Amino acid sequence: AAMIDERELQIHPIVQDSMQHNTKTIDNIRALTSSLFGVGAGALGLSSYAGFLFYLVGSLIVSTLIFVLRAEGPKGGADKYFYNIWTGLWLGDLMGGLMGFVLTWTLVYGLVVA
Amino acid sequence: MTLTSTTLNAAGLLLLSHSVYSAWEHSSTTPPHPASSPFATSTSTLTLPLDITLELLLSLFLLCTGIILHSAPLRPIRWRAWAEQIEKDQSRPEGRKAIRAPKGEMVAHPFRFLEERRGFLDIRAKRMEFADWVRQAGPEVQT
Repeated sequence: AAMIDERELQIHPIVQDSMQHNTKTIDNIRALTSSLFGVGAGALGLSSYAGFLFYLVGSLIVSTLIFVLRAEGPKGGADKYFYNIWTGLWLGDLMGGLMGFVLTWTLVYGLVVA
Repeated sequence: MTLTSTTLNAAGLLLLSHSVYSAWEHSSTTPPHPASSPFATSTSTLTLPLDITLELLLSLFLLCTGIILHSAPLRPIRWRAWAEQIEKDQSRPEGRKAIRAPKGEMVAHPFRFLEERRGFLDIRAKRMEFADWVRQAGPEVQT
């Protein structure tokens, strides 16, 4: 499989600048939206598993929106903008966004509910 | 696109602040649930009115859409598709380009160097051009 990968890369070279640009764009969107989801979860008064479920569902919606609005949807093909669409888009920076989410979640929960 | 995203973001922020304020007001004016023990802290999970919940979810959706529309467009990662976009961009007017370069930066054409290769300089054509120029310039340069 490694040999085939290498040949594939030689035939269709990857532009590193574009990959970095895309990763940065996705990370920015994730950071902003996950903090907002934290505000939402806190104001709704969600606690424990419900809050994390809220974050997962919200991130899935954001990924779908990026996929449709920014990556031309299914017609653009999964590999036009991402080397690996799973780690690049659907799971991209989920852990980094979780930090911002928990931060604003606890803050708004403390202000609004408690 | 900028107008759409700005409108969405503004509307989303307005609705978000309104709904969060409503949630805060609701939780601070509603008396604690009588059935719950005085030691239970969280009671308002299920008592938030439906309209506040819907307003909050709608504002989040508007903000997400606005943020995504406001972000820079993704770039194709295959060299082939990327070069095609840049090539097409050269004939597009400013502001309608597919690849927006950040301020003070240029997205260079990846095959520009092919046009400037020294080894492919047509030296005979250059020499003829020079000869024509000398002939036209007249006798004073032909010393």
